[in-house]
Amino acid sequence: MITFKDYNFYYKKDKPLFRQFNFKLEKGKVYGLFGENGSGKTTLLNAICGLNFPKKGELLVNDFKPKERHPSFLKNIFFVPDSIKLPKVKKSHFLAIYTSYYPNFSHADFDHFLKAFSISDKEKPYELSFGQQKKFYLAFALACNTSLILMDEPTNGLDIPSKNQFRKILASLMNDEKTIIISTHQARDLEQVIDHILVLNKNELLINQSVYEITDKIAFNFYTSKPAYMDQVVLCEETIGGYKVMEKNIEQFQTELDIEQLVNACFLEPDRIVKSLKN
Amino acid sequence: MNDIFNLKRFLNLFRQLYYEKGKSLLLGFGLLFLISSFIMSTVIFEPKIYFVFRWLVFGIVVFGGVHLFIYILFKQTFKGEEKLTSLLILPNSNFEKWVFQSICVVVVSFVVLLITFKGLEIALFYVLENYSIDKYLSLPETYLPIEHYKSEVLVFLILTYVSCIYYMIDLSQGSINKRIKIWIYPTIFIAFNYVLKYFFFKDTLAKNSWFQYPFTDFFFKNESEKHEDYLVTTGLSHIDIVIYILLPILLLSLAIYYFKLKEKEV
Repeated sequence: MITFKDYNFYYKKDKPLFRQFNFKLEKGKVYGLFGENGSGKTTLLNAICGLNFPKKGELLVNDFKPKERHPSFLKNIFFVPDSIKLPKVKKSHFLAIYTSYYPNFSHADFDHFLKAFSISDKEKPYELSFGQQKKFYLAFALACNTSLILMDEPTNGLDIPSKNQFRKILASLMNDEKTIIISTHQARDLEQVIDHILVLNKNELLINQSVYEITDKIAFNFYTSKPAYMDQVVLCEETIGGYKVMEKNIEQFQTELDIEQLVNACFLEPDRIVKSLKN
Repeated sequence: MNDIFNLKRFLNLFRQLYYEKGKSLLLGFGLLFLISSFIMSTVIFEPKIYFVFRWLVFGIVVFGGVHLFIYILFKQTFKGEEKLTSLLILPNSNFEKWVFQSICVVVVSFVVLLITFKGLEIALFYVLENYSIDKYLSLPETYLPIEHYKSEVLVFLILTYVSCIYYMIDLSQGSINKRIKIWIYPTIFIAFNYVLKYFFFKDTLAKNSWFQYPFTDFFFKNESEKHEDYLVTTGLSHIDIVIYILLPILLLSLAIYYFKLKEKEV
């Protein structure tokens, strides 16, 4: 569905951001995209929706080249940027303008999502607070029912009940034809809905594996004392009351994925992570 | 689904502009109307002042008006990364977006220029109607020989290019490309008027003409004739053609390059 083939990108020629990306993202999954600040998460999302172009190689999304920005391609994707400022138009005008672009838009879904997010039925959504504007835009994005949704930090600015509602909505929306890619630093907000992890580190895609594949190979445990044998340990972090340990899953017992710990390990022990996931 | 042009999709861009910026544009038009009214009152009550300063008025209204409108359009519709992102990922074709942007600028420039020309035409009509020929001819600006007219042209063209360069290099107000596109169309329209004049209106009796071309002036076949018989005199040398037509076309090609939205990245 999304194919990167020998994909290279840079803003400055002497500072490449992505080098020789070769991977595919299948449809029907919720992808979590993680990485340090400046690692290129937003740039990658921009590339997928055609806002920037490969410097070398090829990028195909739904068999389209995003850089060509064909309407047939754009009407099937929706990008929710990190910072949202709604246009100064009434709700009815907003819907009149934008719904006509998205043939699968559902007014019933939109109303339902607005209610779920507790957004008042205000005629001027641009007068709402930042968090409420974001929820309005998220509700619209999800109601468009596009096959691909890209979200950059969607939970930023959302209150706790809204984050919970957002997770519920995402879970209810998922089907085999829909793909969602979420770039976020708030891993815990979306841990329960993400089923595939992508981690960017030092110009490379370090991890591109499903949650099942990861937890099949790595166990995330908590011990009250430091493990005596460190051979199988990928990362050991001291925390309140004990140690959070990432170790090879020798016992083949699936534990709950701790995305924050995994991403942290990618930056601290990239080689060990790669080695553990390969075995 | 036509991926190049679809009328419904295209008109949606105008609907978006109307809903988002309709009020600002109407306010702009209102402002222009007020300025025009002020000019007209000056014309009626102080025709001498008007005759002396009408080119200044023309300059302020045309340059200021066009800039105001295009500023509103670009500043509020296309400027800034958020708005640019929103425009680029809108499911319209690059062609539709390109035509839309161009049309917005062209139509607005055209409307502002035409309103101004028409205003000046009406103003001159009032002056010529209400002012006796003798008094008119005694005014310093009334009879404009060709050479005088050319230097006047030159001043305005230099002003145009200096303005272009100023806005092009004024990085504090945006990138060079953004500066170009603000001034490119007014410049092109002025040049286009010259092309029209050169090929179609040379020495044409313009008594029924309903608008005055820029940088042309009324003058009489002979001093004894009435104002209905004035001529609009034009004509450009090769150097004029290079300065007033070819250079603006070169600038236009730069603008077209810029406007190729398909090359635009965030």
